[in-house]
Amino acid sequence: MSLIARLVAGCRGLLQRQRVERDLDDELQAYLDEATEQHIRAGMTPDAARRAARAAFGSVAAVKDHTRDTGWEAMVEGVWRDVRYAVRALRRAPGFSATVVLTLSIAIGGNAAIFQLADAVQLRPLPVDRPEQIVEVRMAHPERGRMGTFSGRRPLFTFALWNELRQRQRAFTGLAAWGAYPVNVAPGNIAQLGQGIWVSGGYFATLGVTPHLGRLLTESDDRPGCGTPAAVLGYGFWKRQYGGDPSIVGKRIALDGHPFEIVGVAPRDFVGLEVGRTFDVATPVCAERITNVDRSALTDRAWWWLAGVGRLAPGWTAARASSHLASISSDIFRATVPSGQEAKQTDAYLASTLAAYPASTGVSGTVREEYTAPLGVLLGLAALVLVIAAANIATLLLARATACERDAAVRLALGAPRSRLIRQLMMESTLLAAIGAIGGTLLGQPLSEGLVALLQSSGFQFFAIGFDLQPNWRVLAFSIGVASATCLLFGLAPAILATRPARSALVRGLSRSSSDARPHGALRAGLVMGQIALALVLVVAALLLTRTLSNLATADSGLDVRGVAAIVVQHPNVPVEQRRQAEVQLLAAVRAVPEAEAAASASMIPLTGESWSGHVIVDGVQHPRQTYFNRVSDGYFATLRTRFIAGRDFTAADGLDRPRVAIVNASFARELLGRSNAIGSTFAFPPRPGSTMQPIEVVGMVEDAKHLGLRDPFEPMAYFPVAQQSRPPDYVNLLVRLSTPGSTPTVVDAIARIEPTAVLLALPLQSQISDQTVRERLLAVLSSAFAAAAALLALLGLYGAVAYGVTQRVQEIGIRMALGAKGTEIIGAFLRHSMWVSGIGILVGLTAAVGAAPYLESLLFDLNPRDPALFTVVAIAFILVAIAAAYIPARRATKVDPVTALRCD
Amino acid sequence: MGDADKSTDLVQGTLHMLILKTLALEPMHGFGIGVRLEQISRGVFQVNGGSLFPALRRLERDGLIAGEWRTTENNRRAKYYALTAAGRTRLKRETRDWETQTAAIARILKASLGEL
Repeated sequence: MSLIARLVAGCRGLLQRQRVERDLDDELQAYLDEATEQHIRAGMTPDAARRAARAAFGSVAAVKDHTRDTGWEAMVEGVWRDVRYAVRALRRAPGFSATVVLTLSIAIGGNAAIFQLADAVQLRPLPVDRPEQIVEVRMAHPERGRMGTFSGRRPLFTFALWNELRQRQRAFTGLAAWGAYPVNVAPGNIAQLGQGIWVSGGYFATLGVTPHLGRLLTESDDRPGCGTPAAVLGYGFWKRQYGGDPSIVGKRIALDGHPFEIVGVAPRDFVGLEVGRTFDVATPVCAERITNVDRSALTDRAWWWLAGVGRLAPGWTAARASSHLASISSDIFRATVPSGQEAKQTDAYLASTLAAYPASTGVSGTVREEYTAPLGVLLGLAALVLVIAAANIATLLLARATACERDAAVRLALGAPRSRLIRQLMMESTLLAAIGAIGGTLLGQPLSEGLVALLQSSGFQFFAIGFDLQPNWRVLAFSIGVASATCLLFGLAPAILATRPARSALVRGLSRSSSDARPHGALRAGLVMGQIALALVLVVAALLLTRTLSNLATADSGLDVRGVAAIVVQHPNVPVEQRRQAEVQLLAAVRAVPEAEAAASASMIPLTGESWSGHVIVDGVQHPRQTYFNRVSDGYFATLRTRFIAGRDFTAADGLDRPRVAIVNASFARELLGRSNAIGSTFAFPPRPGSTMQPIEVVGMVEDAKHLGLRDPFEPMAYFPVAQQSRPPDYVNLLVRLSTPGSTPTVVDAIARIEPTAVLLALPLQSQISDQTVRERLLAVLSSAFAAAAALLALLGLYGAVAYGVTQRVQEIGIRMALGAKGTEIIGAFLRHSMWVSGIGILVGLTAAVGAAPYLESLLFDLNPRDPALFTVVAIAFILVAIAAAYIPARRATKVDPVTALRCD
Repeated sequence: MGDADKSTDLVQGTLHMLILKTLALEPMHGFGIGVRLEQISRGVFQVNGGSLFPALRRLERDGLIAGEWRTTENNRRAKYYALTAAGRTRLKRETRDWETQTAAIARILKASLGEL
């Protein structure tokens, strides 16, 4: 009750300030009048009585102040007064304010941008109804029981397995399955790959997502046969491809050449369940059969292509769901055993169990694993930049505070409480930090979008990284937190020092003595030292990360992808028995193009992540070392410039009717065949049940070449001729080395002339390299930017400190010059001091960098994180630049005219 | 200010109680309260305006006393304060607490080993 009374009274105090003020004046006057009256009655003259009354009362202003201070509104008023004062003070120094606000905005914006990305990777809950109820369902040990074909990014279910689970489980109120696939979204014969997801009928309903436009897919869309299938567009795709056309619902879209009806658009924030991935079109699972005419995953019990989540029934936990799933697992797996497998594989399959895993922040694919550490490192580096910026601003504020010291001393002497002065100075810092935080938040959004653009792949969009980056309260809270911490960091020390009462600042201020002309020297030097040390750490980190990128890009991969175009020709209309012939014709047509230096075909394009691996039988026993395989045409190694060590290339004669042959790489020869020259050796595949083993003769040997990824080590690899493949697929991968860059369209035209109905997709193979180094590029670019900013700030800090020292000591320098000191001596004195400061800073920085470098180790490639040469170079560079930064302002000291210097003040 | 203002020697918070007690006798203006306190305490407490007005403001803010402008016996305008119902309750409680405490303190100060 009294709280409300206080609140009301306080508000009245604020709103009717003049009346309340007049009231108080009147009351005090009445008091003094009464007191005077009493003194007169006691026999004093009116004058003496008035004086006595006043003397007894004390300072009217002070009493008024005290009386006013009893209410909370006084505090508000005080703060408001400080704010206005701070605004005035900052407006009087526009250069200073702009510098600080800009520095802060960039530093806070950089931090916010990286945090927003880290938030999207790590923290952001799924934008679905009650995300805490969503769990992922999958095999407890997917590496053991799965055998067969895998497609998509999360191949954890076969269709049969999924169906059994759906019918038998009772832990979930809804289940949602999806499988990602690259899909051609262009209507013509030049393909444009988009990201498709097959979704089960219950997908959107289970997640509780509401459409942005039209409707989403339901159970009635996902039924056997499918009819005219429906498609839901992703928000980003709808904006990109259709310009956000609101009348899109009801129109058709060609997916892999088949018509789908667009029934709706997904909401903006819903980009699927996989962290870091988005989808362009969602189509019902049943439509898989329509696009995969040759061989459907719907009927193949050994084809893993779906992932699934469930919504826990009320009262259920992931643990309870797991034990329920474990109890029904054996029935589910027994009902779905793939046919034609070895007994050992079937046993492993039957021994599998299903379990539930929390997935409220989405299911973590490779993106979360790959980017958690880099984003952590980047956040750390960004924080260092912020600390340097704060130290820089602290130096500026310190200089300002020193300038105001006389003012502060006078006010302290007149009885102002020190806390008031600190509050007032802090208000300036708070104001700067607040504006910086707003600027940083505004800047953070485009910056984080820029970062995602940096992550975009230029090649197969299937592996593109996508996020929904809408600002949220976590990002906002982070920016505010960062700004507040920075504000304390740069604001408090100068405020405390400037109001330090122990020193007779007033006296000193009025007659400045040269012995104490550099106030807060230790703090100033410490700030510069800290900036140099931190900047050095950042520069070392940036150099390590940049060199990793260049190491990766120039690493000997055994193949030269520059100038090689990969062209995928899809011709499902060509019957199986004619495909071999069609491939030969395509290759001939491509080789006839004058710009084509060399051309070949391959069943898997290197560095795209496609792989085929297994075990082979050498000397009658299965070799334990796993090896990789590919099918290639003649000219493959010449096209990719992989060198032959021995033997021959495949020829047109190596057909199905001839003995089986292979070309192996050096690792295969060494590790599996146990000899340096493997020509003439044989190996074989384990025979299928009921067939005989077919020996494969090694006819050629090539140097090792990367196949999976640039970071992966060289693996044993065997290549087989495409001509010895009994059932060619419905596509041909062509690799063409072009003599002139940009002549891919000529080659594409040549292909289109002989196969007008085929769908073509052309990509420079080089883009695969840049796609594989996306993470390294992000780290290199950002850390370099941070290091540059940090180094610049630190140098400005050093420059500023020396320049300040020179201005502060003008008198002293003047006297010395008048007494005959040489310019070089004066410069030397300043240089010596700044070299001490930066030398210690460099040493501290080197120690810190050596200590911190191992944290980067997992992100480096082919590099010693404590490379002594690199550290030496950085240290020398810092020393040289520090000398330059100190020399320029120090030289100004010698320009001091003794007479002017002594006259000043 | 120090010497003239003996109210600084007052136990923290007792000034409020004394003002409430003074106003319980009759409504009074600021100067009157000071004079009355000095009279009753036989000059032991001299309450200065510097302490009196913040205290009055706080009591008024807490709704324990209410102010009203009236004319004094000397025909001047002055703000007269009177106890509110809440103030009366508070005074009763504080008086009781005070008596309990002082009695206890007095017992402690008079204590001798024999009594234990």
